[in-house]
Amino acid sequence: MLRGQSKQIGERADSWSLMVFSIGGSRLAARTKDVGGVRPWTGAMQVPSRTPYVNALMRNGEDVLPVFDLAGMLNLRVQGDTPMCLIAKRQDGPMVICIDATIPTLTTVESTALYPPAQPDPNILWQCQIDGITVPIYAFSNLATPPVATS
Amino acid sequence: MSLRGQTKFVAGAGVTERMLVVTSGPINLAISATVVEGILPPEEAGMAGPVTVREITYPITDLARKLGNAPAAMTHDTRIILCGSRGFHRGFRVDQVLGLTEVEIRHLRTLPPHFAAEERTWFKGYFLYHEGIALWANPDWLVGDDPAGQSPEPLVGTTRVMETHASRPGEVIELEVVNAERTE
Repeated sequence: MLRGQSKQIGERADSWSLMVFSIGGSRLAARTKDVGGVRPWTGAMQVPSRTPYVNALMRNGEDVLPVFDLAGMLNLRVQGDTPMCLIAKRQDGPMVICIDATIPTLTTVESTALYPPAQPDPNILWQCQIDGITVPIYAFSNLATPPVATS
Repeated sequence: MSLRGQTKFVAGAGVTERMLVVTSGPINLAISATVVEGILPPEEAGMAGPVTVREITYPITDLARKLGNAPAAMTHDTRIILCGSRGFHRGFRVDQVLGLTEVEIRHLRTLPPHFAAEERTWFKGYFLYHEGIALWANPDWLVGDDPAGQSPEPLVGTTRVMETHASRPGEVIELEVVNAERTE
């Protein structure tokens, strides 16, 4: 990176590496750098909660991660008998998202192919076309977090 | 009758918290032993109405309701846990008692910061329990004033309570039945 060039500008200038996954049959994407991994869904324990879409904990060995109900946020239902677990890197720590049984794929999109969603959504960075389908790119780093107040 | 005085003691590896672990629907809930004052046997757990034990009356509610779930059907594992804290007394119908266990304080974890609302006051944290997780209930939330937002059930019947024997850290402690009374 050239001296003085910001990371954000670098991202806009370069191509974007994306993980494409599906929930309820809808294709969604996230930046690969915002994904900590994908593994089989092993079930989670419900946690009574009033935090929107955060209502369970998932244990994997000694690790325990909060579960973010992205399907619920999108009014979708996860499809498949063997759903997958996607680890999203949110700014306050990793969390898991239950996704369809379809194995996620990696793809690269030129930044020039990105365009904003028709309806502004703080959870969506950009949209792009993949195989002729509009795919929203979700901002896992601040997914469903309250906006920071500015004075 | 009570498990009071049997918590936060130093056992070989460190300070431990003694907990009674119960299930309610999909949730494992751990209740500090200092709060647990008795456990009603299955033949009494399905009865409606508050329970009076040694002159203390416990309004009974379903733990599932308090946790935001629909109560499960009665089974032979159903129990009522009698709890008391800071002058308040409540009984909770639970699906099953998994056992009394001791957890080293260093193994207790707070909820991840993703949980950002009232639930942080409902649960003091959680710990790994067998192959799963147990949530550690905050006694003030569990037993405090009007915990379930329900009116007490009518008075009926006669019943008994159980109490525990101490054991070494990490062991499940057997429960024994002792006599108690239910108001009429």
